[in-house]
Amino acid sequence: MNDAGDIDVAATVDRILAVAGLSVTAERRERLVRAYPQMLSMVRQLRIPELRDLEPSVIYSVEERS
Amino acid sequence: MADLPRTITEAAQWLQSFRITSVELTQALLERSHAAQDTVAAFITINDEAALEAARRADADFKQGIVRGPLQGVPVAVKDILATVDAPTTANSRVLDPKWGDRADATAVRKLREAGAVITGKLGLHEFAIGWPDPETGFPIPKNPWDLSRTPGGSSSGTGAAVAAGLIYGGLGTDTGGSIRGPSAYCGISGIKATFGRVSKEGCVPLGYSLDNVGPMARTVRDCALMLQVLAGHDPADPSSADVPVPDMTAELTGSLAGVRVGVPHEYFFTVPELDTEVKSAVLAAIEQMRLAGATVIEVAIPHAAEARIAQWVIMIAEAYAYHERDLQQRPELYGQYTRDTIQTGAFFTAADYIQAQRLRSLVKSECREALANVDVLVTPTMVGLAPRFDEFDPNAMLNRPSFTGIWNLTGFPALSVNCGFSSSGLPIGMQIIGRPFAEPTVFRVGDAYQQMTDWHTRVPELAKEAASHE
Repeated sequence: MNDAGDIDVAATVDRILAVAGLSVTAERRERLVRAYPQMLSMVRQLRIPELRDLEPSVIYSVEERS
Repeated sequence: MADLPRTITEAAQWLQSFRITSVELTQALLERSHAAQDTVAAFITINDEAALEAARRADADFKQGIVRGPLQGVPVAVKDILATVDAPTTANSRVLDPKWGDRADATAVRKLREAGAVITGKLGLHEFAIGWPDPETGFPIPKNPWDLSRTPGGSSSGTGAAVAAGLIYGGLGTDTGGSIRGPSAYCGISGIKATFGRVSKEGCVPLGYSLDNVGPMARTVRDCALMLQVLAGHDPADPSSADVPVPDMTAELTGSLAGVRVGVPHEYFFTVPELDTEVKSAVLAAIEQMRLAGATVIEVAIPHAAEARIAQWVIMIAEAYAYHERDLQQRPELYGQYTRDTIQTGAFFTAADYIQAQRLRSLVKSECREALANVDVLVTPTMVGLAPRFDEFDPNAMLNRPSFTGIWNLTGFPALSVNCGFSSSGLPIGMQIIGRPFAEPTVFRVGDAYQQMTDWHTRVPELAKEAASHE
């Protein structure tokens, strides 16, 4: 995950919204542009060395009902 | 009728001794509920006819000596995110297809009815159990009975408000990140998010599939235990339902804390700068009271508690976004502003973000198991602050605000909120008691013992006292 300073935040937000098929007001878009670096910073905190050998809590068992 | 029982436990005694009939009790609470709709606004639907019919059936059973349990004939209500056969289900939204609710009772609702409970209606909530009330959607917005300018908390806002205002004896809420425990703390009542899988989620509109819980809210811990006894149990219709035995939830309600080991994770839960000083003092005082009553207090640590908050948020929003994706694309204007804005952020999380959050989930589960290894329960504040005013809401602050509740959805451990005091401004303060997976009886033991040596849970908002005096 890149540092927000390396990317064009507004263009990235617009691309994500377009790919997701979401239409937002201009005001909402501005809020997202302001919030996006914060979201990046937040998910960056999930990448910690202690997780290197850990499996996610979504591993399915063959015995599980579908 | 000025003199009414105050709790489920008391109501059961009155009903079973024929001191009151279920019809009388239900009529009284229906009248209170209607009278409070202009102030507390707890309900979306009040179902008088169906409730009185259920009350008549309960009375008929009592007369024949049929007693199904302590909930028989007791008025309760249901968060309007759970399907009910005799009332529409809205999830407090214009988005939910009405046909979704055109089905049988949710499993949890069916169990309440089978226990003889009288369901008086459907309670208000934050839209789809997330976000913040938006008046534009046209739904009533529940208010905190302790201060009508403040939120009762969310998302089980109507349930918290209705129990605190004396409109029902117990109610169903749901909890994905704190939505039972937050309103319980802000409204001065008790509420438990049981172990993930303990109570069936069948018939509940999902928010976060791996985080959602259905659970009871009531005036006392004992009442919550009585309700959970009815609600708990494996349900083949719910893929996440745990196939484990259901213990006697009231078996450990001895009133004694002798020999109980209470773990206190000071780091994060008592050290974040956002923690209100009165909340901190009240919870520490409660812990000290438990120590004086015979409990042993032991310092423990959960090193990644702060990151747990982020992991819970990412998982919840990603799972919610998956559920709402099509409606957000096709008819976003039908959502309330804050619900729409919150769930839309799910589009900004990548698959790798979600998996990293699930990996951190594995780490935090391990740390929490370690923290509980040599103690019986953990104790923390339930909420960081007091019930906020409606005009204080800042949507941008949600991402940054610490959470003491979401970690227990992330790990799936049972967590109960009980009232442990009031602020200088008269607002309730909640204490959270967490246990090992499926150890709800021990969690209830500690909460009930605390309530037997304090009287916070007996206090009633002025609004409710005034209503009772006019009956």
